[in-house]
Amino acid sequence: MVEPVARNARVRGRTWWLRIAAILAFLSLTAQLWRLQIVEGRAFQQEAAANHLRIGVVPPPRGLIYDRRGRVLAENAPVFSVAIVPADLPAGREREVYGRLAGLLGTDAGAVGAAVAALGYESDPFTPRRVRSNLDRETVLRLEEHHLELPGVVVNVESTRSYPEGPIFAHILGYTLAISEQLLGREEYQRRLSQERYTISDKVGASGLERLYERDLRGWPGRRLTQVDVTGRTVRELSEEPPRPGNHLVLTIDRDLQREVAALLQEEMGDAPGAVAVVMNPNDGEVLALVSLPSFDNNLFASGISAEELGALLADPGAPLFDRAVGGLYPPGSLFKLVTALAALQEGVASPATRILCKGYLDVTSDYDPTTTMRLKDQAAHGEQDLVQAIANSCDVFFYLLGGGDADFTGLGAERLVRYARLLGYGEPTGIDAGGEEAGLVPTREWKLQAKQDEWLSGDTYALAAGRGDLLATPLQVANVTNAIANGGTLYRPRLVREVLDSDGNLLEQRPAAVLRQVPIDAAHWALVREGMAAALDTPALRSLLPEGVRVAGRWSTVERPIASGDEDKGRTQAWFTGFAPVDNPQVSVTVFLERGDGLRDAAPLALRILARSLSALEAP
Amino acid sequence: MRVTTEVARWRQLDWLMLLLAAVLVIYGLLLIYSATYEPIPGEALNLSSFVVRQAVYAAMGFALCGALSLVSEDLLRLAAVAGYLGALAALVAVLVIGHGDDTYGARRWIDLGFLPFQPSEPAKLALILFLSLVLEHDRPQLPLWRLGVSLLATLVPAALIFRQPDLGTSLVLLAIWGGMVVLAGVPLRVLALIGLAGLAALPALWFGLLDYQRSRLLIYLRPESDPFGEGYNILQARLSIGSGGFLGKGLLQGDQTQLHFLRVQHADFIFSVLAEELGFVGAIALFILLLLLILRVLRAADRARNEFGRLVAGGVASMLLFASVVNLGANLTILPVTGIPLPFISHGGSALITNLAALGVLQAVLSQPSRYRF
Repeated sequence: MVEPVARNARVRGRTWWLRIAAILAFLSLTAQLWRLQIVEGRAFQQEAAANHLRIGVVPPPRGLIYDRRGRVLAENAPVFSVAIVPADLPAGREREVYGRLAGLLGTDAGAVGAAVAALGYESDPFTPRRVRSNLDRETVLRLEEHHLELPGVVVNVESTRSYPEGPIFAHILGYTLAISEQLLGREEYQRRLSQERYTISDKVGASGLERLYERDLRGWPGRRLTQVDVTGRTVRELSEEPPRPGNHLVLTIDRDLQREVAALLQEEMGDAPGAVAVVMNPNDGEVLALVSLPSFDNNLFASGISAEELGALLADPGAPLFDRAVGGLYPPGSLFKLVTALAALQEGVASPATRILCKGYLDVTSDYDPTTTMRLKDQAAHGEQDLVQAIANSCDVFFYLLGGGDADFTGLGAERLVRYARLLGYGEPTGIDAGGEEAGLVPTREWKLQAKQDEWLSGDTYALAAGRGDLLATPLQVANVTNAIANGGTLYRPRLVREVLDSDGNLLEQRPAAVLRQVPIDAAHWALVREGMAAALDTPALRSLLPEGVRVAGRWSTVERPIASGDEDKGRTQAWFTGFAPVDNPQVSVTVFLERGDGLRDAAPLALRILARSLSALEAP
Repeated sequence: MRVTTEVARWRQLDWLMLLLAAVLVIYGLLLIYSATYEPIPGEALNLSSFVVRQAVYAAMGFALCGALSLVSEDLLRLAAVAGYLGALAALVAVLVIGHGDDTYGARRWIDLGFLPFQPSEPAKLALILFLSLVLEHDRPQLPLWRLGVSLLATLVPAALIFRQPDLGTSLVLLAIWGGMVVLAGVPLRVLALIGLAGLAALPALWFGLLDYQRSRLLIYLRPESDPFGEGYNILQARLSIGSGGFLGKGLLQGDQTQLHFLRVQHADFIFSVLAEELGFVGAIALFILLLLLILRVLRAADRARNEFGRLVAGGVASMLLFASVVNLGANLTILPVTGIPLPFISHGGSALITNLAALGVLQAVLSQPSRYRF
């Protein structure tokens, strides 16, 4: 038997094994702790910060839009929206979250996933992807209640546009849409995201003033450094650079007049597929009312238009999204005779003393065969006409001769006609601050060669002079020519925005009248044309409609629809009226266009009613 | 006469060991407070239910510790057998009627009303006492039959716990056995053989693991492979610890902790909270406290009046050392995550009460009257 002492000494010593094991173990732990905290500590500190710090953009409130008297036309309304921050979704369990969110929203998980995917992942995963806007209060409360089960889901208060006037101002104001590459083009889209602090969940002005004045209305977003918890919810705000709110716009439009004009036009356009009315101040280019019918409700876009609604708008044969006032191209017909008259007077082709006998037709020599003649017809045999009478009666023969001449009379010729047409603003955009403006078309020798592969014939010159040619103009261009006639030769750029105010309502920028050019025509010639237009309205059919005590000048026209526009409207006519008042001191000009109708019977009476309303609107305090 | 004996026993108690335990428990309460802190406006001190519950468990644990300090060795030996059998019964019961968290389908708890009771924790102490009986001998070398019986006595509860499943705690039982066998004087050749046998058994053990246990072990090798799944907490723990730096971010100031990027941060990952908020300094303080306590327990082994007491202390030291190192190693991402709580620190009543009771048993060992000396 071994004595216990020896055994004790050896075996008892084994507690040291455990001591040494314990010390070694804690030394290894200390080494690893040192490595993590001291050696690699800085890197981990940065990584931890990235874990919970987010730089967010603070959207600025969008500027409001007022009419010329300070009445609100576009404002902001708060809406709740729910969005998903892809970075905060638990990887591999996205569908679980989609499913739960879909359950609370009453849709299916696929729809949620699609909404997230639709916005793309190309941008940073910390930007929220909007899943749905316009949440009702109950849904918001439910989402907040379940937020712990919904990592990556955030509820935001957003601002949406609200347009109290709806369709009446839809074309002017336009609307905003979610920013996208399709909307802006790839380059512009990337530029705004990278340089202008747009985020992929932002909305941008997509049409009308909302688009043109995006820079003013938007303001400049601030930035906010926030701390978020593991579900992506903001826990506290660490620093904020406040946003600069958008500027407000004050329009030249008078809301009440715009309403009245829209109502009148709607009432009187009858079965016309489209109609336009333009009311302007001829002395500075301010647009007082600008109506294009049919219209649409731009509030639909603000609250997130559905695919069906958008499809219906796009498929509507009346093309309600199309702003005919600035984008519609129509032959102005007899209204162009005013240009011919002015050109002839200025070029000395005609004078107040010029008298031409109208037999109801004009025989002109054929370009192809000098031995044969072509007969150009007129509506009636007007007898002997001077310029004022010719304008009043819209005598074709008179203007055929002024334009094309004949053996006994030297006309202007195509070049000079075209030059004056251009000087008066045909064939170029007026430069109004509205979207989708068209330049129109002034036919020339070169244009005809290119477009029709055909020579310019003398017949083309006659047709142009009398307003029967290929010339196309927008209602706004026609209105602007009338303004120049009314004010004696100054061509203004039409304006929709009068003032830009900062968010506190202080005047930032007064938009002064912008003169496009002084048309080089003597004052007397303008006056003579004004007399012709005044005389035009002095007919039994219209006399009763003229406002009392005010001399009105105007010219209507009835134009056969271009052959290309389809069989349905074959033989039907488009109607124009353009005019101003008072003749001696013009305050307001009115231009009306009806896509179907008669100049004298339809357009003129309607325009005169609008004119009367406009004059009284101007007098209102 | 009896009174003087009692007074003498009070003097024998290791007050430093108890003080270390008390400091660790208070340290733990502070960390649980921070880990479960939810700011409520207007209230200066928001004690979460976790802190309150843990404080109650600590009070119960210290009370039990005090009561056990003065029991006689006879009673301990009796308790060793009764406790071991009771533990086996409870471990079987937990598999039958127990419940647990549904995530992994584990059944670890029996609901005792006032606390959800986890029988595998006191089973560790019961095993230590029982193994001390089995391994106690006066031969120069540990007789092989004792070795065999002790292994069997360990494997049965370890297997039951493994079935719950709770890999970590069953490993703790094996570690306890290993430590105690070493102290009991197992010959070095046999020890080497056991080591080889253990290595040989590893593949079998591997295939005995559940999928989640296997993936946890694997993920430890490459946590980046599943940053939002199994690897998530490992990465977040490393980030928490690493970002703490030398002095830490301050109590309640750890953004990883306070923003809940860490999971189970009041339990298995409480060390990450400590390292983030109190930094290297705070973590080293914990290491020192734990190491001192373990050394103090080993000191009790040396001072025990007989082999039984020595083995009890050795078993407790093995248990505390293994649990501490495996938990801290997992937090520091040098060991796989096995779900072992950090002794005295992690939130959890069964473990805290068991550990304090173990210290109580050690006090009893230290304070036995001299008739048991040899």
